[in-house]
Amino acid sequence: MVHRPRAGANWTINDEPLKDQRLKHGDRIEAREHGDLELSCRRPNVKDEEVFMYSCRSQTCRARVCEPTGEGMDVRRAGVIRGLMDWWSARVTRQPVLPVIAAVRAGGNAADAVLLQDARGVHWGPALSRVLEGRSCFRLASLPEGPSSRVATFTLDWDRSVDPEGILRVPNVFPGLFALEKGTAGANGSCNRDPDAFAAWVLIVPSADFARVGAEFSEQRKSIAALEQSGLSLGAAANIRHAGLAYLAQSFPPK
Amino acid sequence: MSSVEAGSPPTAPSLRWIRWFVVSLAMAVAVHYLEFKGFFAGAEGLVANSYLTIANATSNESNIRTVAIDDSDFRDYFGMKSPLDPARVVQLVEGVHMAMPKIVGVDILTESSDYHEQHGSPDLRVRLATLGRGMRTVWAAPAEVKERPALAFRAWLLRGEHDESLLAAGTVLGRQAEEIDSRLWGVPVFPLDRDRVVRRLPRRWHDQADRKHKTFAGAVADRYCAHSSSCDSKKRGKSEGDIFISYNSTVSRTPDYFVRNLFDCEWEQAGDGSRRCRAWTWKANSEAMKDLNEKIVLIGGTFGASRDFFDTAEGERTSGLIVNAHAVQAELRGPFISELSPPVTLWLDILVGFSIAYLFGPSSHRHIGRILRPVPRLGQWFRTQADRTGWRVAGSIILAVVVGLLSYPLLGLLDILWFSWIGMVLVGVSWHLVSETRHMRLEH
Repeated sequence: MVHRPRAGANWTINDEPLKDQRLKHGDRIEAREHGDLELSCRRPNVKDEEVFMYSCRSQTCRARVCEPTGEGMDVRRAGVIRGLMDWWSARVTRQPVLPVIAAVRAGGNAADAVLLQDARGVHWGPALSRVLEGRSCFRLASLPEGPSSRVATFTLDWDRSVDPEGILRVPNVFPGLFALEKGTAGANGSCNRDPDAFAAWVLIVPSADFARVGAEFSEQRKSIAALEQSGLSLGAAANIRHAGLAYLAQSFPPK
Repeated sequence: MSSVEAGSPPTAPSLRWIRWFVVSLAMAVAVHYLEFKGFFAGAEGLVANSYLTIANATSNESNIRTVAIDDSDFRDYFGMKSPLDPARVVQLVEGVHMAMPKIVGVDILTESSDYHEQHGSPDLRVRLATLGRGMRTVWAAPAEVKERPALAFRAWLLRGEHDESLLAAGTVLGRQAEEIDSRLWGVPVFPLDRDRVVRRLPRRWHDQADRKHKTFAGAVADRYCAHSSSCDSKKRGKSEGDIFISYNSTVSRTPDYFVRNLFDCEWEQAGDGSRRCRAWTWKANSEAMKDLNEKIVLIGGTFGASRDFFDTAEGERTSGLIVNAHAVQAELRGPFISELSPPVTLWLDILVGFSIAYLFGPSSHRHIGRILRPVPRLGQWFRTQADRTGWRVAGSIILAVVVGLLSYPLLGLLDILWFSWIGMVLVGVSWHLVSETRHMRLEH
């Protein structure tokens, strides 16, 4: 089986980054950014190869190797007739609507933090200290919020026992100050803003500055924690933390 | 209007019947396709709720009470911290048990490992073990929805297959759900209709090993039936599929009590001038305590940060606590109404559509004319209506009303809902339009 990827770094096969590994029928493909993947599939007892084209145009797409359907993933087979068959298949099937769990969430919101951005991506872990494990979608908006504010959404499979750093590359995210909100995954990889969520402030810094900025933020937090113990309300503590992050963010103007 | 047009040979009766059948089949399949894609979800939901209102009209007063943590309680009693402090959740549950309810259902996810580990004094685990000994506390469990395949229209229409909810239960009281007695937890899972409204309650959910588990509402109802003689277990066991939740039952649509109604607070002033609750004590001998006695009490959160609100027939932001209260009511008293499967409704719709097609055909006028012979004036008038469409449209509407009325015994006796009015109206209107168009074209 041969593949010709035009896929980004956030495509995985069975949770492993997509490289030149040998693929098997039914292997799990997952894409967390736009891209395309072409696979040549040869089935037993079938003379000709079938070419499958996978295309992801949303935040999260899933499919299986050499299978014609996917979740959020556009799957086509080369050839007019095959293409028509796949179009028809999309018309006569429906993706299930996710059920809801009707209970008070213990998952918690994102936390104010300074986050490292390096070649592997952003280390989201410090902002997820109160977020419970599982797949969550997040909305990232550059601060100050306004008409020119940039918004990005991403989905993260958070498991602190596997990857405590929570490293994920999010396209078009540069160092600076952002509001980070946990959202509700919607159809086709969308992340719906939750009106009841609290937005955390996160300052994304490059690796050269992380040690310095991180240490300054740590000192700020200790001072705020001492104030909380002497009666400062949660809301006031959050405002002071945000002011501290805004001060530190002066070195990283928005791009 | 007649299918025998001037200048063209008459159509053989068998060919007419075949044509009517084919058109009815095509229309019924088309309408079912629209239903499969969710176009009618909202309208069908309104009709379902209306039926259930009738079915619930004679229900007795509910024995379910709800205790909610609203925004004020979240601020004063829980310090606005999310996740909720485990010690305070346990204190709340212990306090409610002081009123000696039949069952307490805790609609709060308890995933934190603090529930399981040593936590301050007194030991939380000891307190939870004491609560568990009475087998009268049911905890809500979180669950992750597993990957499910797309559902094909053909499988849905011809075999009645439906979207399967495959779940993996998470942690309850800080431990894997499987480690806890299965009678004491349930997943408060509700499938969403295609218009994203909560209307149904699954009686069971499946895990990836295809084992069946109870929902939270089912677990609460089971525990109640184990401790109460007034539970009709036979009726409860009848339906295995999803049942509709009636939001017009006698369960209150807003929480019955809040935490502040049940607990007295020892207030202290915070540094910024706000006040917070340093310690709580249960309000003994209160009216609330008397009311909660021998009831099913559900505890949950209605504060903004709980993110526990859903679209239902009640409204756009119905709290999960109220949804679960109605679901428990549905589990205990019903009605255990589910839908007819698509293969059956397909053929019923074809039958009804066929009947409407018959009305718009030529034979119907002759047959009805014969029936009206004993009434000379009416028969004479009807003989002049051979080419008119008015009586045909009226007949279709009367047929629709009759089918609607006949559906009520299906609801009352067999606990099933059948929606065919969409198919009927579309079949009738479309047939009428097609026939009129042919008639006009031939005239010109």
